Amino acid sequence: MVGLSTGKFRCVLLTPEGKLLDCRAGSVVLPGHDGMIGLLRNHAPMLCKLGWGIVEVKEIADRMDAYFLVNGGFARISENYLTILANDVLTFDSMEQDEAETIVSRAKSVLVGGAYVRQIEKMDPEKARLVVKLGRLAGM
Amino acid sequence: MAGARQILARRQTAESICKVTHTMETVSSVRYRQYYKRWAGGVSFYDSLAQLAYLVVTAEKTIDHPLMAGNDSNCNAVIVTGSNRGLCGAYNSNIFALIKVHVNMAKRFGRRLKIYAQGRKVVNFLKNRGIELAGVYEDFDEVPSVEQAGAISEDFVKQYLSGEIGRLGMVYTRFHSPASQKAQTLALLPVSDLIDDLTTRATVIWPWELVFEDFLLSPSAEEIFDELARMMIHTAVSGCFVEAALSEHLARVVAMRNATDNADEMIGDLTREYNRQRQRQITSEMLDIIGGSIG
Repeated sequence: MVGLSTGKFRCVLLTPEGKLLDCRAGSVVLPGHDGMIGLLRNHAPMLCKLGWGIVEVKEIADRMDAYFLVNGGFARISENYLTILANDVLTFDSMEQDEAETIVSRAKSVLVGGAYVRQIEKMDPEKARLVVKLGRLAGM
Repeated sequence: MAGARQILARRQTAESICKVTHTMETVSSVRYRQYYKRWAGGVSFYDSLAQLAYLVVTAEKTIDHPLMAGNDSNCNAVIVTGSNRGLCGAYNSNIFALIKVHVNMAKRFGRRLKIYAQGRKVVNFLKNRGIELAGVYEDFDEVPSVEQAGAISEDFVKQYLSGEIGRLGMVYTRFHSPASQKAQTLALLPVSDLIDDLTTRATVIWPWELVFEDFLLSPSAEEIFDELARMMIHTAVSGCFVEAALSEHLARVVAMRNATDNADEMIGDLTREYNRQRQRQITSEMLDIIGGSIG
């Protein structure tokens, strides 16, 4: 049984603005609408709604692990082909270091600050928590 | 006949126009390329969304959802998107023609029509015609952000579910390719029309080997469909604004290129005329001098 789920499968992350990821990955962790979902090769065909959370794509061929903060969307896996559709995605992969650090520091200020800071930053504390986690995973 | 100085003034005016139109062409072509990149990047997303929609609607057990079925409201709503600036050829007039069709259709079938507009040209057109506006989108310039598009689509979904509106359409200029753009109305609600459109324009091959029943679902099929329908409307609203902006900039590039070419041609003609006039003046002055010396 273990042998069946080893190996890689295709993983594609799509947004209306473009394709953010197209790779072969060893495992993917998705933020499902009711909890985290782990996917390995030869997963049964599945269609699920996503919630708020971080998509973790691991053991990617030729590159580092990738992390994306998504707010809703869908994931569909069939025949070792995972497609994630999301309208609202944040990733630090294609971002300048300074810009990413600014976002993380803003999120941190929202988490430590009071109502006044939250009002100016216009960032939900739950989102801020996830942004800080995303920054940590991305090595910031 | 115009004097040399007048011709020179006209040539300078033509040169200024040429500079302005050339600059506008350059600005629009840069924005066109940006929007084109965004539009092309979204094609795979639309294809995957269409696959998902196809999968759900071809399920053996029909999914009953209020967004899929029509309601008995007597009101149609349309979102109209035009441009904020002119000088883009027939781009806005094609949209105006479609608005007239909607107004006449609503009158003919005795339905109320709520018009939501984006773009100063459209707003002015409707005000000049005395057509009442149900809403104006002024909080974004050309394309709404993800949150703004989400808020727009959620507002219409709420209105549809509460029976305030019975149909929702989007009047915009669809970008088929750089050689073809056409003003049209995309039906967004009921969502069955939108699914038809999405699956028709998708570039993927149907059908799949897998059917809906082969998939594990989380949550239930009804809840998935609810979320999928909202996502399709959200994506369609934001996609239509992108296509409209793309078509507008392409229309402006073409219009301004023609204007620049015409101005160039006019500058050439005026230069020739100016030289001829100057030559005529020199000849006449020389004849005067010769005439004077002989006398």
